[in-house]
Amino acid sequence: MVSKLARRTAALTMAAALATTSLAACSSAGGSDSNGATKIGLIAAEQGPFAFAGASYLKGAELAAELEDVELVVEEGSEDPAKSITAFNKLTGQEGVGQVVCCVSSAVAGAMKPLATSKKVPLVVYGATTPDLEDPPFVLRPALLPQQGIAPVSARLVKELGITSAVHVTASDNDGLVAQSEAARTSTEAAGAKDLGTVKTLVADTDFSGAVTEILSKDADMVTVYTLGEAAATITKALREKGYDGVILANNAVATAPLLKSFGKTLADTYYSVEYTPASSIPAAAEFTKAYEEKYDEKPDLFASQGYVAVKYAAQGASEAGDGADAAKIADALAGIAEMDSPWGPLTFEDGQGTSEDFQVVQIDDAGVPQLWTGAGA
Amino acid sequence: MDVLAQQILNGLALGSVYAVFGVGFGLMLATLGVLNAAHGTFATWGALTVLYLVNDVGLGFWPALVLGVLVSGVMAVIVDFVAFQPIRRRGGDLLPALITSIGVWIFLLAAARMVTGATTSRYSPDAAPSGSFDFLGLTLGRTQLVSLLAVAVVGVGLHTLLHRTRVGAAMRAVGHSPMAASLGGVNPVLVVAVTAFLSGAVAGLAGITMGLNTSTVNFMLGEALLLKGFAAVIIGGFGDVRGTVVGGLLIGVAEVLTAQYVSGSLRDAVTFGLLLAFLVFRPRGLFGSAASMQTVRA
Repeated sequence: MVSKLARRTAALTMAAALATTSLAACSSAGGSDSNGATKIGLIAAEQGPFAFAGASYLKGAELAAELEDVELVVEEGSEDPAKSITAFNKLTGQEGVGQVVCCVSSAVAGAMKPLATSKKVPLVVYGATTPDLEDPPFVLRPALLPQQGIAPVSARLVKELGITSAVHVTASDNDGLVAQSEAARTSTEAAGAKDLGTVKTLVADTDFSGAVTEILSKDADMVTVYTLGEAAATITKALREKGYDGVILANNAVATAPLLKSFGKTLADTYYSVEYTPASSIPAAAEFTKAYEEKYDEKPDLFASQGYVAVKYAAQGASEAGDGADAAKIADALAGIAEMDSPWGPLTFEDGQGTSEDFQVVQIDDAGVPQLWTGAGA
Repeated sequence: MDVLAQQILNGLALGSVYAVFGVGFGLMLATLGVLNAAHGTFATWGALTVLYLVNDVGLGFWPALVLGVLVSGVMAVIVDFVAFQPIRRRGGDLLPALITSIGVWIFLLAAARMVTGATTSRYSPDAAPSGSFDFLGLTLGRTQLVSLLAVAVVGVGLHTLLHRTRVGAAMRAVGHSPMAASLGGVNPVLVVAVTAFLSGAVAGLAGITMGLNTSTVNFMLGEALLLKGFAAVIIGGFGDVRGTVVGGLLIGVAEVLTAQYVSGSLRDAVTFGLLLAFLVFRPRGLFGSAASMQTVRA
């Protein structure tokens, strides 16, 4: 009796699996549906730990979809690996979705990478910044790596502000932040500032009193802080409260709206490098800002620009692949894009990774508001 | 600036938060015989209450601190009556209370996660103490000063209460034997309520000062304090306020000096290495007596 039931269950399971596979084959990932509309899947992060940025990403992405005349198919992933994988499978099972845009965090992007590669569906990463994540033709990252901007900006500050020594702070258990700190260290040293060492913290640390004392004991002209945003803001605040009046160059994550709101003027006089700010003088940035303000009646932020660029890039790939192209053709088209215009200036691609030469320097003013920094003499 | 002296001061300020938390944790363990896994959540809820009152209601930091401490104290009383009193009535010992406290812990932690949306906040910069001042050639943050004052007030206050007042004598009597205390005219239910309140209130104060010092208030705030507070109780000795204060301060100084002179990644290893060493070589701690150990074992 049991074995008969087991056989029947197995047969039903097999039939269901075959039916699912057949349905999946019918809706095999392609770049447009039966009506010819170009579809791009997007895994949103409106909930979860990155919800503070998720809404901006989505707004930027929706603006790009509207301007590029593509249809955005959105699934919530909440920056949770399991939810994001489910969302990816659901999106790629839909008719006409030939590529997926996703991922704020490196952890989620890392979880999605083998899935995209094995399913041969291009994954366009809009936010994660861990090094070596890109793997063309199926994992592509138009999002810029922060260290691309940190190196020239820190060197510029050293030269223009006459800095002679620098101490660096990082979270030693995070590869991305270590890479950013290392970029600041090497470029400040190359620009002529003596390297006074690196103070190491951990991502989970919340008490920085010891680290701040160690930084102050170095008596450096400049402190670079590449830890997570909350920690960077806390360290910056503590340094100022303990009387440090030198130059602080920090992770641009200190300038997220929630941190600016809660830390306010305690972050005054902090510098950071960033690819986009609403005050940017780059023409494409001004166009993006104007279009965004018209659509949403608010100023865009960096996250919105990242969502915008990712979908613009995905749409360009779909367009170059041609109507009715499957996921593999779209992947090849995306990997073949060498340059595109963007709010971050001309964006060039090398092995699926976007790069730009046009990073902006921002300084937080005395009221706690970020302002474009145009130079020491300005 | 003398880096070593400054780091010791930083360590004392950090350790004072652990010490304050440990005093409340140890009070509940030594007097009520409850190893309360939910104790960290009292710290979290105290900090969240002050955060709400300061940032959303616009109340000043100091009146908000008083209310936050009261909320944590009342929460501890409610938890004791709902979760631990029934066990006490049935004559249950440490293990059933510990298991029950894990259930309470999960509930209060999940509730804190829900109300915060799992995001991190902090007291408004203009509303809470901030800045620093020079002190004997060293720099002391005003938030650090609050922590040091808190441990002084709590340490001296609770030690005096326990050893110099009739209430303290009643608390110690109930901790030793509720039945004997009852025969001696003590109302054990009232004494348990007062002890639970003090224990929770002190945890709330530790949570508030932790949030102030780290500029970080989230639903996990109390969890880090729980382990450090437990270590302070073990190192200082069960049932001794002075020992817990010294244990907490020792942990704070050891953490900061390890980060400065050895490696930041070894901070917790040093703390729990100390804990392990005391458990193995001197389980009664620095100030604990064999009798207090017996009370806990019983």
